[in-house]
Amino acid sequence: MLKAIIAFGSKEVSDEQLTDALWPEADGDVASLSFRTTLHRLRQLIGQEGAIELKEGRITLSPLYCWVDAWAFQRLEEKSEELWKDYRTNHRIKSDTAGIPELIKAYENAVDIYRGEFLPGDHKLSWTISMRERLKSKFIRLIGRLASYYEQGGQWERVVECHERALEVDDLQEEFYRRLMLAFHKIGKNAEALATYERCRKILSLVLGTEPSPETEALRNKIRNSK
Amino acid sequence: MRNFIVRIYRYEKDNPQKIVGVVEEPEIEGKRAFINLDELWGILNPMSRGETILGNDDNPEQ
Repeated sequence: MLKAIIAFGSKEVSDEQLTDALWPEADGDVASLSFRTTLHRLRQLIGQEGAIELKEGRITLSPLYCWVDAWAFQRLEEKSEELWKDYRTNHRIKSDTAGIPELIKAYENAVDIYRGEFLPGDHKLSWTISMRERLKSKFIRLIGRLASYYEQGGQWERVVECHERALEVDDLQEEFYRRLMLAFHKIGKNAEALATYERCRKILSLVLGTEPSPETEALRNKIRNSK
Repeated sequence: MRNFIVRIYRYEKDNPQKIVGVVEEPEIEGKRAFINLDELWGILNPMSRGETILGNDDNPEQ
C-alpha cells in the first residue's frame, strides 16, 4: 500500500484508486475491508498515526513524518528546471555565464539523488509504470543537460561519468554513446572512445536491428584517423 | 488491459514512417523492436500480423 500511495503521487490519493490497484478482483465490501485493514497495519508498522492521513476518502503521506527519495528527486528536478528557465530567459548572451555554477549545482544535486529505477522489483505491477517512467525521463533529461554544461566547460572526465550513468539507465540512447566517444577522445583515450563505438554498434544491432547513425560513424572515423 | 511502453530512439522529420524504437510490455519480460510505423502498429495490434520477439536470431523483421 505504501508503494502504491507513493506511485500515485503521495498526495490526496483516492481510496478507490488504491483499492483498484491493490485488490482489482475484490468487490466493493471486500476491497473496502482490505483497504481499511491494510491502512491500519501500515500505520502500526510506521508507528506514527499522522504519517498517513485519510480525509474524505483521500490518502496523503505526510511530509512531516516521511521522507521519500522520489519526492526529493522531483523537488530538486523542479528547482533545476526553474533555474534553467530563468537562465534561458535572463542570460541570452552566450558569454554571460553568471548563474551557471548555481545551475550546475542544482543539476548535480538532482542527479546524485537518483539511485535507479523506481520500485525496480515491481515491474509487473502496472500502477508503478507511470511514476517509474516519469522519474527516468526526468533523470535522462537532467543528466544530458548537466553533461552539456560540463562539455562547455571542458570538464571531460565529468562528461564521461555523466554519460556512463545515463547509459546505465538507458543503453539505447545513441547520442549518449556519441558524446561519450567525444569525451574520451578529448582526454586522449581514443581506445576507450572506439570501444564505446563498438558497444554502441553491438547494442543497436542486437536490440534494434540497426546500424549506428552516419553521425556516429563520422565521429568514429574522425577518432580512428586521429590516432 | 495490456500496458505498453513505446520508446522511440530515431525518427526522420521528413519521413514519419521511419521510426526506430522498442516496445516494452511490463507484464512480460523482453522488448520488441520496430524500425517503421507498420512494425510498431503490428506489435501494438498483434492480431494484425505475426509477432516476433526481439533479440532472437529468428526475428524475420530484423
